[in-house]
Amino acid sequence: MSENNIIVAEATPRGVGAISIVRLSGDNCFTVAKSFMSGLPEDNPPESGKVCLVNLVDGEKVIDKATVVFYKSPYSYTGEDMVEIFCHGSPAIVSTIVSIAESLGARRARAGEFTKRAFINGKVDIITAEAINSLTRSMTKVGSSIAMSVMKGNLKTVIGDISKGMLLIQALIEAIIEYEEDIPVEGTMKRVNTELNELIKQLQRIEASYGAFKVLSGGANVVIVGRKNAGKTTLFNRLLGYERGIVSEHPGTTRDYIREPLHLGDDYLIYLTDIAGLGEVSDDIDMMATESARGVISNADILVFLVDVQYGWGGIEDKILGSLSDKEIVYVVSRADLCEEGVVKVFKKVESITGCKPIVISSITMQGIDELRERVRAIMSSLSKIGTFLVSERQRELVWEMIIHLKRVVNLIERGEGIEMVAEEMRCAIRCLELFEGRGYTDEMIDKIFEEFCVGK
Amino acid sequence: MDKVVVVGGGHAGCESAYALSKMGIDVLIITLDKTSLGRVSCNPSMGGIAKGHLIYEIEACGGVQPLITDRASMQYRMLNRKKGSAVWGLRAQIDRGLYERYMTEFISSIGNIEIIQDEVVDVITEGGRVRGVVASDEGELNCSAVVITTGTFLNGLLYRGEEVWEGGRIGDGASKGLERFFERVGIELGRLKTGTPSRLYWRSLDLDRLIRQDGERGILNFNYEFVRDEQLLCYIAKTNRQVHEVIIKNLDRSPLYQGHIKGIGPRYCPSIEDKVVRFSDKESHILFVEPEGWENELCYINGLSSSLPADVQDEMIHSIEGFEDAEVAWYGYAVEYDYVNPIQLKPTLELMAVDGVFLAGQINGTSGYEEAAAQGLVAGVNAGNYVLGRKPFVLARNESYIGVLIDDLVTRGVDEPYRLFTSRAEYRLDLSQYSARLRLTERAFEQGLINRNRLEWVEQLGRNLEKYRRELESRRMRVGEEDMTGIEYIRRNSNPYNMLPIDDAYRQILSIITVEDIRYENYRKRMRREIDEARRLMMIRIDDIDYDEVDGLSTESRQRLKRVRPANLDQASRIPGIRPSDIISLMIYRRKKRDDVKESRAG
Ligand SMILES: Cc1cc2nc3c(=O)[nH]c(=O)nc-3n(C[C@H](O)[C@H](O)[C@H](O)COP(=O)(O)OP(=O)(O)OC[C@H]3O[C@@H](n4cnc5c(N)ncnc54)[C@H](O)[C@@H]3O)c2cc1C
Ligand SMILES: Nc1nc2c(ncn2[C@@H]2O[C@H](COP(=O)(O)OP(=O)(O)O)[C@@H](O)[C@H]2O)c(=O)[nH]1
Ligand SMILES: [Mg+2]
Repeated sequence: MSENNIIVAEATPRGVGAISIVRLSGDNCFTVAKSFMSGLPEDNPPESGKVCLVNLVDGEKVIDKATVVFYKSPYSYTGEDMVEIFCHGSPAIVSTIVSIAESLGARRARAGEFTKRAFINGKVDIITAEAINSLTRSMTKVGSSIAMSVMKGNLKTVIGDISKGMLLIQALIEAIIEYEEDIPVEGTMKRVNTELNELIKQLQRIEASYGAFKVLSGGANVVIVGRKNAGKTTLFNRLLGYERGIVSEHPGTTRDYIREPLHLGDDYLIYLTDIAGLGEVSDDIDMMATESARGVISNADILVFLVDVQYGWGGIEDKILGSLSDKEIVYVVSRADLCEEGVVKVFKKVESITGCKPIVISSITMQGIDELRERVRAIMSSLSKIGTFLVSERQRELVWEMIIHLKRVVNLIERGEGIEMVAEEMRCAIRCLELFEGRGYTDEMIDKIFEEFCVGK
Repeated sequence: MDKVVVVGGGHAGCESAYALSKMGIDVLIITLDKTSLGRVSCNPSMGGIAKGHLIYEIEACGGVQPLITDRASMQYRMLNRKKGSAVWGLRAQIDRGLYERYMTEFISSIGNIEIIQDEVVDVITEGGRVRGVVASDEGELNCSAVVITTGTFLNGLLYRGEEVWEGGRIGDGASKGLERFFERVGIELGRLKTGTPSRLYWRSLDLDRLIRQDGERGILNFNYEFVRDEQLLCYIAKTNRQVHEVIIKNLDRSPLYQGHIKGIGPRYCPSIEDKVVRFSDKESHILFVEPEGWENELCYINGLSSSLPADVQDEMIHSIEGFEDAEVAWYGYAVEYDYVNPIQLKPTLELMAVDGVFLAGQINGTSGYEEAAAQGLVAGVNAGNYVLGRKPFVLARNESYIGVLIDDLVTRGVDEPYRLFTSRAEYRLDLSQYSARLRLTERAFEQGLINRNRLEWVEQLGRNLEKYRRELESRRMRVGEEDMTGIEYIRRNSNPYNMLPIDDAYRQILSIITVEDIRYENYRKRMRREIDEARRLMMIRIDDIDYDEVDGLSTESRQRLKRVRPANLDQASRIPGIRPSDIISLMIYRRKKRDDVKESRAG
């Protein structure tokens, strides 16, 4: 391979830490690395996997003392010759090393390129590669541990079971075609049907897990809704712990939406959003505010629905509820301190309409604020109990396609269509499964998959 | 003039010889018995699911098997009739005596085919190519190419209980010597086995206690003529618990379970003892009682293949309802024989190791007359092209079952007897029996296998199909309350075959193909996309690659590729054990090579 096939990048997250790692990979990367190192042991090339202490030099100048490891192909992460430099964790040192390597013919690695090379050289499969990608992107501990479990093979095991299920159904259907004289058709079709329904249910659960994964790893969109003046912005500020939004006694003060990240303990991250109050539209700007509010709501994972203690549940609340469709909702009776005698009445009303017990809060006395935080946390924590997660959009799309094909299989059987068409539909489902497992990809598809990968890893 | 020797006059050999003769090449068939060409060693029937498809494809390529089958037929049935026509499989019961008589007459009457009765014991090569063969009696005979189709004969051993004797099938000796040639040129041989059931006398069976199975009238035969004549009956019998007990009790006397037979048998066509052992919870297995010929007093018991000792088979047979007083003409036996793993062949069925030596039929590890004939056809045409210096004849997987069969053989290799199934074809809905001529006529014409009349017939059919479709579009049909076009009717009715014209063969073909075109339309669109994708990979040729130069291949993958030597990336992607990442590595290597070439041209 020619020189520009050597890639270089920092493998650790950017920023100041004790140690940073810079990686080089590709044929001849040993030569490039050695030309800015002094004090290497005599053996040439250095023994694979051995740790050496060297000085990193820029011409005559020593820029850092570092440990380096040379990995001989194929015994490296990428499967190519590879060098890892453990230098001191300063962005200045790191960028000097990278530029020296560049001046010697290496080029900066593109997003996800190390993992892509590992994949091409058969060191990791597509599911593991995607797990590595989601690990590097995860914003939370829970997200990382999910990605780790996928890397360890958790998802592959589950998909392995799905694959067995699909192959069984296929075998039964094909047997009906190939051995019409020996196979009891009715009994076999019954079995096919049971297996199919089971499989569809299982796949639907798996598909839903991607949403949960996104929420857990990238943060949940939590949106506060309620009529104007219900106390949304005040609650927003209380939950954040600082005055972010402007609060006033005039209804309709908040017109655009504001969003801020908020960690719930070590494990979870939410993006809290405050939007304009919903209700009668009074002017043009208001109208637009309501439009944008709708968009925000449709992207929400969890909604906090404030019902003002003074107004109680009215037509506006009915309308709001109608627009929330099947989202996860936490109901709140807000501004409880303003009308203590009304609390019970509003509480009962909300409960009878929604079937859920609301949380009673006051942003003045701080009553119920912790409970609300705890409720949101509990929702997140219940998501993390799912067990198996999909970690990429690609995976979700393929599972979704599998479900479509399997449902069509069911439908074709119901309509009494030719079994050869049923078999064809089944093959489509299996083809999706093969793609899921990374079998049968062409090079364009591979490029597409790796487009969204992060630098370094 | 160049001559091609065909070793063996079985199903593969006859097909090879006939194809070669049509290409204008002189053929010498050397076979052990010149009076029984195309002998049916086992069941007296041709076709069935996937096998019927093969016969229709051979028909489209102007082959001999469909001609003789229809002439020797005694009964027809369309298997899978209740399913869609893509998987219908025509099956004919044939008169075993007539079949070999007609085949012998037919092949012997062809001017440029000479037949001698002898045994080929060696192949002479010179500078990596074939120069001739050595026969026991005739000695050295020169030729420019040879097609070896020795079936189950190579070092054949027949087994029945404790008895073992040499032979290629009952009544025939084994053939020996060719293994020395194979060893000399570095070809690995393996061992496979198969078996055949007992033959009983009709007169001794109580037919009233069996289920009668009639032939189907009014269907098309392999030559697209209506079947109107009288047909012979088959019967259905069943094994029972008592039969199974007899087998289990005597398993230790089976050569298979004693470990004498090393060869691997067919999983999909197992002996009765295999079925009883493997499916121990099944209380009964179905048996078909099939006539051996119009005048033949014997019947063939399909499903009762066995290599147990004669006395055990006797007890077993007499425990079957309706067979209590059966007289046995001869008992079932197993045959074990040498085969060449076809992974050592090119897609033309030529040995990679020696130019001009082609292999076809059971010697390549397949089983079945139709599989043998299909290979015979392809090997014959390619031997012809080799002699004439023309391009190879290779059919793709998306245009024929023949292509699927041969690609499977040379890409995946064989370690148990290979039989074709429709499920082996990824483009099954494109490959129905009735589309065979549409798919293959042009290819066959290019090779000189069929005449211009046939080509014109197919072109006319194409035009008529369009016309017929237009007719359907403008025809209004009432179904219940709804008013719809003929096309919609076909799309929505789950059994559109009930409107097939039953007295006009041509209209019938026309309607079946149209029904398929309409009903499979959506699936075919998707298949087109997949085919296009495969075609892109097919365009990337890798037959000249040095795999040691390719980065990123594992040692195992390198070995696999070296063994198969795939012609292109599409074929490589089907080699078992080859990972997607290997394909990508090859792709990158190819691209780089191309860039290098560009660079060096520019520089
Ligand atoms: C006992 C038995 C059971 C079978 N059971 C089944 C079954 O259950 N299902 C199934 O699908 N198929 C079965 N078959 C297989 C079927 O018969 C074959 O697949 C088919 O006949 C193969 O055709 P072929 O042309 O390759 O070989 P064959 O039809 O066997 O023809 C081989 C020809 O080569 C000739 N020959 C051999 N050696 C030499 C030589 N050295 N020199 C010159 N001529 C030679 C022979 O005389 C013969 O004419 C069975 C075969 C046997 C023998
Ligand atoms: N007494 C009391 N007043 C509140 C509480 N929450 C908000 N308010 C007041 O109610 C008014 C409207 O609050 P704001 O947060 O702007 O409402 P929004 O329109 O829903 O965003 C302001 O005057 C707030 O000070 C509360 O819990 N108790
Ligand atoms: Mg506000």
